[in-house]
Amino acid sequence: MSTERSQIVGQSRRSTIILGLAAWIAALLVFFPIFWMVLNGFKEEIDANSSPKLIFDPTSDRYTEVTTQTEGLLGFQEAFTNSFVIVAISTLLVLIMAIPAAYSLSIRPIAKWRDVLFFFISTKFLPIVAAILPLYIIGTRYGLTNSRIGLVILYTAMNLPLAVWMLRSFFSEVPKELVEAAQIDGAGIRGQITSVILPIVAPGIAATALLCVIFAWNEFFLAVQLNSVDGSTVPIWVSSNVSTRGNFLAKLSAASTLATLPVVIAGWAAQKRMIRGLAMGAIK
Amino acid sequence: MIESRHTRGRWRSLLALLLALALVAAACGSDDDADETGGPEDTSEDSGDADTTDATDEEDGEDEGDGEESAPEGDRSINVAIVGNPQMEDIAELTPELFTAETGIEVNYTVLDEQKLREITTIDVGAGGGEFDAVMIGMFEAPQFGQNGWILDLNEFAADTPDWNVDDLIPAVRNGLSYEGGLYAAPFYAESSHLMYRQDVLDEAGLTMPDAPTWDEVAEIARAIDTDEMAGICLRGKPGWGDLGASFTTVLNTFGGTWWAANDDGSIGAAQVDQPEFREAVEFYTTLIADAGQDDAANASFNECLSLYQNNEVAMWYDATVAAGILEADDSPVKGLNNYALAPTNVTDASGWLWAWSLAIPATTEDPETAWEYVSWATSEEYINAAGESLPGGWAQVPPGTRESTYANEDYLAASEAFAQKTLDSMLAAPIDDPGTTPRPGLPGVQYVGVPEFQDMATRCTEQLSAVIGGSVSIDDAIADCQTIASEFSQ
Repeated sequence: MSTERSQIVGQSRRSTIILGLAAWIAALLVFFPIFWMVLNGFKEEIDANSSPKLIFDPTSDRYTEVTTQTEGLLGFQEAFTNSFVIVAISTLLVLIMAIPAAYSLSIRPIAKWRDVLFFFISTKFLPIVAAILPLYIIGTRYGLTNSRIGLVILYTAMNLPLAVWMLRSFFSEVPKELVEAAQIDGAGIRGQITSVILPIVAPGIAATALLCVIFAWNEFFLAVQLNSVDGSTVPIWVSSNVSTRGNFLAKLSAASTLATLPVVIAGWAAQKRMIRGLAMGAIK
Repeated sequence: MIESRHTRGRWRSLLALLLALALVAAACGSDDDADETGGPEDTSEDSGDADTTDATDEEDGEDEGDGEESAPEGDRSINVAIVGNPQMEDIAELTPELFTAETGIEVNYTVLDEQKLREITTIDVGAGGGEFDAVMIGMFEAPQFGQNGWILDLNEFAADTPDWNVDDLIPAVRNGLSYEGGLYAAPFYAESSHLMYRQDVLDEAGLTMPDAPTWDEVAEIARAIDTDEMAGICLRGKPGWGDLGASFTTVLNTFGGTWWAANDDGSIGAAQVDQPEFREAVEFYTTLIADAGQDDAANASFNECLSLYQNNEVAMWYDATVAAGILEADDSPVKGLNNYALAPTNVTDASGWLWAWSLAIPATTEDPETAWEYVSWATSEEYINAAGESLPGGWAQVPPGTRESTYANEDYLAASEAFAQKTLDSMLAAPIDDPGTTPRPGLPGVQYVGVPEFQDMATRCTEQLSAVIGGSVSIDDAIADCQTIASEFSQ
């Protein structure tokens, strides 16, 4: 018995090292393209397209190029402003709607709450490409294409089911006793939510909000189909640096690096909360 | 009792939520999207003018009080969708100074990559979205869109604009953009395909390239000069109807093969992929790459080959004529080392492709006259001359291949001495009406078949051919799969 155990301990130490190494290799592999992108952004076009070199004369010219404003062309500033506004408002709307929904599906489950949950997720079954033509026609009819409002509505709808599902699992973690205690103390629904439930699920809300931000920030398909003239977002600006005839890798890398920065910063800021939030949700 | 309180509470929350939504929506719209909030109610008078440009947003906001119907000249603005490409980027930069300052028409460009541009313009033009007043389309789309009535015939406009000089357009290009006598797009930039090679490398090997070589001659030279450091030839291998599809189809044509036979009414007939000519073309193309081609050929298209050529990693390259301008540019490491030959042939007399990025006016635009004012400026000799004088890269950077006058311009000829005449020769030789040995279905085309189905079929088939180049699929399997794919479209 004891030998067996020591063997297992020995094995696990070795396998820990192997697993650790594998994890490092996997992480480096995943990180490498990002590292390469950042590096390419500081190269001359010809160097970025030639045999890979780690040592080169770094230049910030590509950043200047991609951020230079040309009249009539989608500029860096316009794209970022549009993205910030659309992402912030859609995420806010998602939270405003998803928090009460999650409450009514977990803390005080409504009748047939399972069906409701299924309904929410079923709205994601249809591939978005199948809906693009109707969306486009409705959008043009009601003046919602080439406007921020159109994308705010779509991104809200796109993220809502996911947010409800995520938040529901966080809300389910709140001990029923705490809610009942608050009720006995005379707290109304608002009181229960603000003083008991929200502080407990705050990390979960942060995690959900961050995911919504990431999805909305990176969304390209709907944006390019519906907002290619006005209200264009960052992914469209990034793709406008692609050229069919001539080298563009360094320029595109610089633009992509700028486009990833806000999400990376947001992720960094929310990292601890998010990991806690995700782990918490994972239990149920 | 408790229940009813809850119900009331719920209603109150719902009301609060609706109020919040309304506030947010209002905030969202009142920002710099003033045009959108006003949009839905007054779309009828508002025309395309108000809901367009970023640059004009503020002015619109102020000027709208004056009434939209009699918008002053300075308020006219148009939306133009263009493809990301050095020549298009140049025109976008020159527009404010050379066009807007003269006419007062603001031009709001949307730059998209080739595939997205195609999707966006197809959906806009096809579904009647009316977002764009001018769209950049290729030679593949122009006659098809014209046939569908999605874009306007420019001949009527051209008749009233003698300065635009429609007869100056290179005939093959003009033909390629026409359908039943109507000219459906104005060429902004056009290209054929040709062979580029390093004269110094061939000289060193004691080899000579004919001006109009055959594919066998090219293959022989490529194999002779192929070394570990420098591949003999760069050929496209990346899947896609506009990538490998274009290069390969020109080879297929000149080997006497084709994708489909044509029915008597011009519709798509039986798939021809299983025919001996097709197999011969595939074998030739893939074996040449395997013997003397570049590394990682299955992922290479124009930009990849350009990099390899500029880095001395390939000695020859078969691709678009426009590449010559990049190879001979002042900042090119191979400037002055190159020579050019017509697209290689086999059983036909000429095999070079023909492509033009061109400006078309969608039938849905509300202001075709303003759109034409822009299109006729952007595709005019006047623009080419102005660009030659204003662009930092000078005359070598002007959009090539569209007008005969460009090739009579001494400044241009001086700047592009190495390739101008050869480009023009390629453009004139491009067999737009009769690319192969048998009739093709649909509208004219060299490196494509002029039917909408070609995009889907060739994209899927070139996946197979690219896999042959990559070494993961055998020629037999690729041809069998491709025959099945092509047969799906036979009528």
